[in-house]
Amino acid sequence: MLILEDVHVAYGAIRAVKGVSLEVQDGELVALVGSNGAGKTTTLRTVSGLFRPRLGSIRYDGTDLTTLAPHEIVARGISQSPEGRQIFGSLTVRENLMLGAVRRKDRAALGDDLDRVFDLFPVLKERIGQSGGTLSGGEQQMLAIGRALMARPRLLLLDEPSLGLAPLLVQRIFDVVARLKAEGVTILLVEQNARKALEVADRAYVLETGRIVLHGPARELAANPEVERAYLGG
Amino acid sequence: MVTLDHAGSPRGMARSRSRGVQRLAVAVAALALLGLFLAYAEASLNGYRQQLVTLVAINAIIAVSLTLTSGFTGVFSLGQIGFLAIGAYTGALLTIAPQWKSEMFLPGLPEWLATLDLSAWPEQAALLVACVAGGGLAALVAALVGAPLMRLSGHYVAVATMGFLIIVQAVAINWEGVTRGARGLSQIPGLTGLWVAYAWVVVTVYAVWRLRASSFGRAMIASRENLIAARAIGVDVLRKRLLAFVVGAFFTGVAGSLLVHQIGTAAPSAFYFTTTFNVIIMVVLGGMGSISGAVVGATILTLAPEYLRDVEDGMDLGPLSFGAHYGLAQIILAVGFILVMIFRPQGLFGDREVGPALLGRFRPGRRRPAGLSPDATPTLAPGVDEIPADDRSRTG
Ligand SMILES: Nc1ncnc2c1ncn2[C@@H]1O[C@H](COP(=O)(O)OP(=O)(O)OP(=O)(O)O)[C@@H](O)[C@H]1O
Ligand SMILES: [Mg+2]
Repeated sequence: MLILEDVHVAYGAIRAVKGVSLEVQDGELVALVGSNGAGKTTTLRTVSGLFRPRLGSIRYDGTDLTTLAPHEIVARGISQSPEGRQIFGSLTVRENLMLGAVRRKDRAALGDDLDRVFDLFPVLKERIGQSGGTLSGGEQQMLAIGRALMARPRLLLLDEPSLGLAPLLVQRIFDVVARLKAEGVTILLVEQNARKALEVADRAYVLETGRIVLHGPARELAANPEVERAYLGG
Repeated sequence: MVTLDHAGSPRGMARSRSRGVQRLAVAVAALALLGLFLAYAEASLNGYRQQLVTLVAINAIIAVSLTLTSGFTGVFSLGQIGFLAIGAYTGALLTIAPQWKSEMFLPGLPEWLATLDLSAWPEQAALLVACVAGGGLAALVAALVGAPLMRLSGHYVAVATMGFLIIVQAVAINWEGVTRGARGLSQIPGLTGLWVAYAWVVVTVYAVWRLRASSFGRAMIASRENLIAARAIGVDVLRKRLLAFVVGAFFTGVAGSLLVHQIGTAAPSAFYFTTTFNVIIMVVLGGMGSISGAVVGATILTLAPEYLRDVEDGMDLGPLSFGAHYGLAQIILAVGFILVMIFRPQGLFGDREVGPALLGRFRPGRRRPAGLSPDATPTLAPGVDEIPADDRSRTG
């Protein structure tokens, strides 16, 4: 279980996250929605240990994450698919995926996990020897998600997995997210596409300028007139 | 360790085995060619040319080291030549005969070093000790200074490593009791020959190539390409960079020892900015991420000035006659580099290697479509827009 309590993060003088508290129970799919610049990416990167909070605590299964280095956090079962298709352009698809497993000790099981990723994203198998930089945007996004899965995470952090994708691919990504949840992976999902996110999530938090302004069961939030007006374009 | 092939499937195993055989064949052929070339050079080239060929080897070792330290990791180091100096002085002080050491008046030397006499040893054994000690001390220093420096990225690491070079230079000039200051050490025995220099090239290339091909190498490239993503998936960036820095320093230190045992003197001026920029040009010219590119770059940069010297002296080309124009060689070289950077900004080889590229021709299925491979060189400042690696405190 992941628990953030009153987390503050700042870039120099710019306070990006101002006291976020949220939790993700095991097996849950929790969505974090909010407009541009709300602090969603900052929150996820802080959980991954890329930034250190000024204040507040982040605990995962009782361990304090705020003092750990990113690779130690991955070793504890938390992996992230970062915002914006951040793949390794000159490495092949296979190398990208294998890198997702750098912290894994059970190297023998990697073949199975590779097959699982190819099962979710068959197109990656066709591109296996191709360098990451030559993939299409959507394929790169799939690669980033697949790479995060290669860590065999217990908690998967997805930062805008559907960003910039055509509607059909957006649907495909959300199908995969739903499938991962069904397989028991705990997921914290950041999305601009609030409508879709609220459809698949169990619970959701709404972030506005660094603060959580609303939270609750995803269905309730989707029906909330305020959320509807601000994020669902209705 | 898991290989990148379908290790489990029989087809994959057969393929990786045949690829292994192919690689071995290429390696044996390359070694045989090198041996033939060295035998030829030893028999037919005059002393000066042999020295030049040896210098190619030494520069190749430095350039390949820098490829590891900077090319693979994207950590742009301007301090490499500091390690060359450490290896050079260490090696020299071990092999200079005790009577010369007392003649040069080096009161800073500890008793055992002042009286150490390796002249009774077989020459190559003495040189080996000097090289390993020089490389070892360089690696040790790299481990100490690398721990804080490798946290930096982009311009910051370039400036900080340059600071290291400046410190080494200041020590070399001012620690007169050990280095004899600006006058430098002389009477270093000429132990470095063609064969031993190229033996070290082979060792260096092999070690760096193995590192590159390992999961370690992939992680290094990953941290160069995308720092945030590499850290987010669990690459311990600091450790990868540190290893690259230390191993690169070791081989550069070895090269320093080889160098002074070739030229016979060790003076601070040989270990400063001119050499630094020469080596950087070798690596950038060859392609920042390519081992073979570094070797080719070192070869070109060592030999070209010599050949261009004939041009400077003036010559007759058919009916045309050119008078002597001094400085022309440098201008031609510089124009050449500028042209390469304009037309092949990724360097001659980019990230690719000669060997696999040649092999690839026989396996069209595995070839990348031309023009699609993003062999762009690492930019000078990967991730400077990000919070510097391992410096999370800056946000907190
Ligand atoms: N490296 C940085 N340096 C300074 N300010 C930053 C940095 N990264 C983000 N910010 C600022 O922090 C705030 C939160 O940014 P963040 O990326 O977390 O937003 P977000 O919710 O992910 O937005 P988006 O939906 O556009 O991705 C923004 O105001 C942004 O300008
Ligand atoms: Mg974001």
